[in-house]
Amino acid sequence: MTNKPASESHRLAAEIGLENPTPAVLEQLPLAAATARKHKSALQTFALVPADEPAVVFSAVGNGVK
Amino acid sequence: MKDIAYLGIADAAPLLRDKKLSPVEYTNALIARIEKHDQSLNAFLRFTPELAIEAARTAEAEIMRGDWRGPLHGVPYGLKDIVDYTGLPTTAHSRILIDNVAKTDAFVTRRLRDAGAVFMGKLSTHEFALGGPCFDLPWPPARNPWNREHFCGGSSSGSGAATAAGFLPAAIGTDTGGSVRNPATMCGVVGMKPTYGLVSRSGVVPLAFSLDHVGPLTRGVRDNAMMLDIIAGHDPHDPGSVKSESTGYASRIESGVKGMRIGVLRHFYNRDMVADPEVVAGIEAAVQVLEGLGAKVREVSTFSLPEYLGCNRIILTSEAYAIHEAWLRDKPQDYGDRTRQRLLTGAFMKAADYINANRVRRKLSLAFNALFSDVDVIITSSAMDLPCRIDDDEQVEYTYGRQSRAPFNLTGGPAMAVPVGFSKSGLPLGMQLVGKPFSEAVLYRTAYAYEQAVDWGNTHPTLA
Repeated sequence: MTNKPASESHRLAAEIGLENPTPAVLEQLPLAAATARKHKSALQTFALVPADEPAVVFSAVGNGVK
Repeated sequence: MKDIAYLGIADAAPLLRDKKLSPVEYTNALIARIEKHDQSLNAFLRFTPELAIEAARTAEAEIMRGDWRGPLHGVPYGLKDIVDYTGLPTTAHSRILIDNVAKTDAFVTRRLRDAGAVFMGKLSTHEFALGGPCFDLPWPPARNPWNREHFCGGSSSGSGAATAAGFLPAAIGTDTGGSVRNPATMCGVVGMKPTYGLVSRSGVVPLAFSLDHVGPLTRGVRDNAMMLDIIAGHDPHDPGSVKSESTGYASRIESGVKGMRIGVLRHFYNRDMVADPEVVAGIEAAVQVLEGLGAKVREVSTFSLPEYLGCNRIILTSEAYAIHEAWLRDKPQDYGDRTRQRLLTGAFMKAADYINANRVRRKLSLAFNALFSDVDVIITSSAMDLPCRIDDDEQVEYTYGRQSRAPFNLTGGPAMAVPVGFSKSGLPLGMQLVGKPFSEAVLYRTAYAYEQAVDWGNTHPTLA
């Protein structure tokens, strides 16, 4: 019973490439993963069509174009 | 003369220019006030009275010999501690950057230094402009001058608290999901998030590159415009910086709102999220004032608030995690618990999530900015709730996301928090004015007309 949360935390740590997570980080990973899932499910992507391009925020000048 | 603690820039500038107020006298008065009261508010993370007196003496000598530099000359100000000031640590209120001494000024610092403004110190923030009020950091969180048991908003917490408390007439904050406008609303002051690219981000610790904005907090609208006049401008060191002809905000402030087309975006605060009735009443009363001044008011609508907020959160957490990944791996113990929890969310975002959020961002931005073919300014809510108790973790978490400011970090246009009075419990209420990109002058004009018609600016908190 007590091993389950710990193993879930270690699986999440592996998923994001954390090799030696501290106990505090391990404890926070399940909530972080759940929050990320909640945020993703709130993103309304159903109206997107393949041709919908991402927003372009930085200016051409900032990318070195004179 | 007004109480010197509550002189605005527009009040002080002519007195300083005409040698009726000494910069040293002005600075010393504010230093004494900060020394007396900031122990209970924690607005300053690093108070620098020696630097302030030195700058005030220089300003005084220059003015006495006839070299008045302009309206900021000899006027005290503070910087949120994610903005660089040469020779001082920029800590971002975090143990991670506790020894991060700035080698140069940020663009905005340089602009204010060149204007002859008097730097008073570094102001508290939420850790890395993200975490929220935390008690496990090297410095305590700032508190609300209207009631120190309550949250003062953030992340530019010290900027809002110091301005409201009469410690400073102006402060610099930053805004990635509402962090200038939130403390402005909670502390009853004016906060402007300018158009993306109008004010340089160079020398500012980033939170999320494509959402970060730098902006001023002041007690009055004209003062805010005067600050933006100084800090706006192109900077080749900021890849998002734009060359804009839009300046002279303060000089165009008095044109009034007769005939101005104002849209009220009500569904953000009465359907998508239901705001506190006192917040709603404050906004609706402000709309009536503007209508009474000759504005043409109509209701407008757009995508739902959660669609904007969801999009902002994915972009913000993804970009923030990219910045913090190495530190989270190497020294996670150096973060406060709340900040680390928020940052770790970004670890679980995939490239496709980030790209899709930016695809949605484009659709939302095009739709929102199209509203400005029919209206000049949009009014909506800022915070949905009154400032909660700072020690109530549950309420801090609950109210953190109940806001309608983050949409305009996505769309990029200017958005401004303006006080609209007080709750029955004596806490500030605010509204938000939003414009199309580079329409800051229209927002200032609207806010100024409203401010002149009401009397909120002459009410100040009583400090213990």
